[in-house]
Amino acid sequence: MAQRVLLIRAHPVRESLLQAAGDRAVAALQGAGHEVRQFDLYADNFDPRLSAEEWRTRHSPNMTRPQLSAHIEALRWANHLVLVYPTWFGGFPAILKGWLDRVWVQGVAYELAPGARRTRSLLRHLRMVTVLTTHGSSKIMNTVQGEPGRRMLRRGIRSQASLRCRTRWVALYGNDRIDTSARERFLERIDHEFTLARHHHALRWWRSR
Amino acid sequence: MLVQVLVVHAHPAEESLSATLFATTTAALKRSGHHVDVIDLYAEDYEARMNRAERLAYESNTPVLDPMVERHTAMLLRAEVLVFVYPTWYWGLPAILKGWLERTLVPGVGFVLDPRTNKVRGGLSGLRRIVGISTYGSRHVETLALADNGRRVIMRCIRMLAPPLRCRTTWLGLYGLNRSSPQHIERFIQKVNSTMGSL
Repeated sequence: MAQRVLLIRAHPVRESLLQAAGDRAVAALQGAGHEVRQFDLYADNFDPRLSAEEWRTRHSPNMTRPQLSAHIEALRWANHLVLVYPTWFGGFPAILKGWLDRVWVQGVAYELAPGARRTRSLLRHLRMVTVLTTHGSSKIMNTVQGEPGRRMLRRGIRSQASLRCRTRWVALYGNDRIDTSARERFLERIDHEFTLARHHHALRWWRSR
Repeated sequence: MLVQVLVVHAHPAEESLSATLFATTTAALKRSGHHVDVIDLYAEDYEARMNRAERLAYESNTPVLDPMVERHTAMLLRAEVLVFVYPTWYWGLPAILKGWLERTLVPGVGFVLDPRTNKVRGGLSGLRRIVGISTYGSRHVETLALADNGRRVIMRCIRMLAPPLRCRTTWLGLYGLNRSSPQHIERFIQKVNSTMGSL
């Protein structure tokens, strides 16, 4: 079954390794017959700061976000979310964190029924979430820091997605020190990760649905 | 002992509880006679995004390009106590505060890459204490289950940039804000007041 993929890019330098990784992912996904929509937050000049106005109306029932409608529509459409970002200070860059703060609002990411005590997620249609990231620091340094970005994916985002949601963590550690061949291997790994034929279990799981 | 404090606040609305906690914090610190610098990120219309030019200059000798960031780095380097007041949104820091860390704690300020050993050394050598004050919509148990990223970033990633044995950390969190009673909130404000007053 073809996936509906929403790919979000959050790197300011278009010629960076990570943007190249994003290109490889898009090519691999499209090559496998999946439908891809993408947003490059820096290229779109996305402002990550939740405004006072947005904060005040965050719980009002008829709240709308016309300037974010393209993002909202794509998020409702997708069943596979791919986040392409450099790990800065343990996690998402500000521009991507702001994408969560501003786009994942009530009525899009969750709803609070009148009288209910808990919110209900509206993103249960997300069956897969993939992160493509590069870390300047080493794997051991990130482990000591507690890998906040990875926890964000495995616990935070997955708690909102489908109960059977799969997560994939495709990360390059120690980017400050490694050589070109390791970067080349990282790009090649992306081809494998996104070509589902290489992942028999994943493929079987997609087909069984 | 009087110390140099830097308080960083990140909430857009002045009627928010976060703004009240920020005001309580600075008032308590000033009452004790400490030297207090404040950065109210939304009030300063702070740019959260590290842009292309800054990213390309990151590894150079002059990574700071914005005059506002330059002013913030001076405040940060003279601070002995660093206080963050913010609401936890989506398991982490608001984007504007995350951006502040990225753009202020650049090489040469937050850390130094030792060219001889190729290892990172912390740059905040004067820092003695880090305090985090945050409000959470979800309950404490949910926060623990979903991993408290904001706290982790502040208490671990920033702590690593300070001297390992001499820097203490304090965490004050108000959980389950959406269901809290006014008395509960008032008690938390008092707790922030007394903790910051007896720093």
